[in-house]
Amino acid sequence: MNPDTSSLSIQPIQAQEQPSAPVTKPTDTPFNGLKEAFKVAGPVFGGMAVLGVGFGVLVNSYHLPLWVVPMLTGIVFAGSVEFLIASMLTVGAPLGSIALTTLLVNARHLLYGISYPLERVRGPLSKFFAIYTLCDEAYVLNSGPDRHRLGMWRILWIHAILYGGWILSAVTGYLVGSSFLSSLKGLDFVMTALFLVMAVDTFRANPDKLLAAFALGSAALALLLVPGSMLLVSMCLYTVLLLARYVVARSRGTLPATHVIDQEAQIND
Amino acid sequence: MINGSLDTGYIIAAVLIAAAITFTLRLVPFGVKKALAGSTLMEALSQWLPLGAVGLLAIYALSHMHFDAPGAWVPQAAGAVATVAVHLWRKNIIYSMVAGTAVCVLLANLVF
Repeated sequence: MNPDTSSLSIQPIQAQEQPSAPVTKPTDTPFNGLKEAFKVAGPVFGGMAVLGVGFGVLVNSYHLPLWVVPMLTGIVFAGSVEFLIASMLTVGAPLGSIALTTLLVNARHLLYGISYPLERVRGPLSKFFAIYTLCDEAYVLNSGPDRHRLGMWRILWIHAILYGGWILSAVTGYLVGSSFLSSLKGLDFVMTALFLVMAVDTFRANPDKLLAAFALGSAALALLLVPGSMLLVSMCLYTVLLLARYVVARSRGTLPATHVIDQEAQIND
Repeated sequence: MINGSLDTGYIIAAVLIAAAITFTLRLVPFGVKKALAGSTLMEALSQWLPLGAVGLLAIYALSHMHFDAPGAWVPQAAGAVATVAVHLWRKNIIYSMVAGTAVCVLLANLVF
């Protein structure tokens, strides 16, 4: 009889706790990853596709050439800022303004890499692709509580679906728009509608009235003083107010609780 | 709106600059992960920045549109009200955006 009876005992299944465990899931194949990606990203992709069509129609209504669409959607690939850049291109805004607007509007991406499971993606090209196409939606879908156990193919396919779908839907929207939609006035309202909806959702998730007051105050001041550079100036004012709030809150000990990154990683519907 | 053609080089430059900035913003945190994650300032900003950024974008879009034509504010104001109302009611991004844009387009083309 074997004195070592450990082989007879039932070992409890250990959950993987280490963030960079090198275990490859046996089901992590390209095809399984694709299936999982469609399941997880399907609804989000649907929404993005509709928005992408709207973007294509908008670019068409601005009378920008077709090739601007794949350039903005494929090379910049950053959602809401593409709407802004398209309208800024139309009025010939200075490159400096475009650069600063991109920086401020996209600053939120600084928070994504902190809690994104890049270690699950193997290979420098794959990592590059994942970082390059790290949009809001991809971040949200791949940074849930189980993010450090996700399959590499699921992650990559989600990026590919959102990226390819965005480009294709925008080109489609542009082509459709050149038919009859371009003669309609008011279609550029789709950008305003997008921002309004995002603002409502963000406020509902975190109804911080002081922040709303900061935003309204910054906007009002910027509109009064420099209506031509309202967005940049108001964002700078807002950031300054935040820094002041941080200093005051820190001295009072009323800073927001940590684990904010984990909260933001909740998957939205 | 400019009806003539825009300089190709200008558009390409704008796209490349915006892409470079965006890619850098995405890349940087992977490199300084540990430093950023421990900072209470980053935690506070990450909770406070999004609402202001998106609110300012919305206000910018609303104010920006007034430059188009006199009387143009009515379709856009009505569209904004419709967008927010539908969104508070159904909480669906697509419904809200379609409703608001439809209201604005209908008013802009049929009434004003």
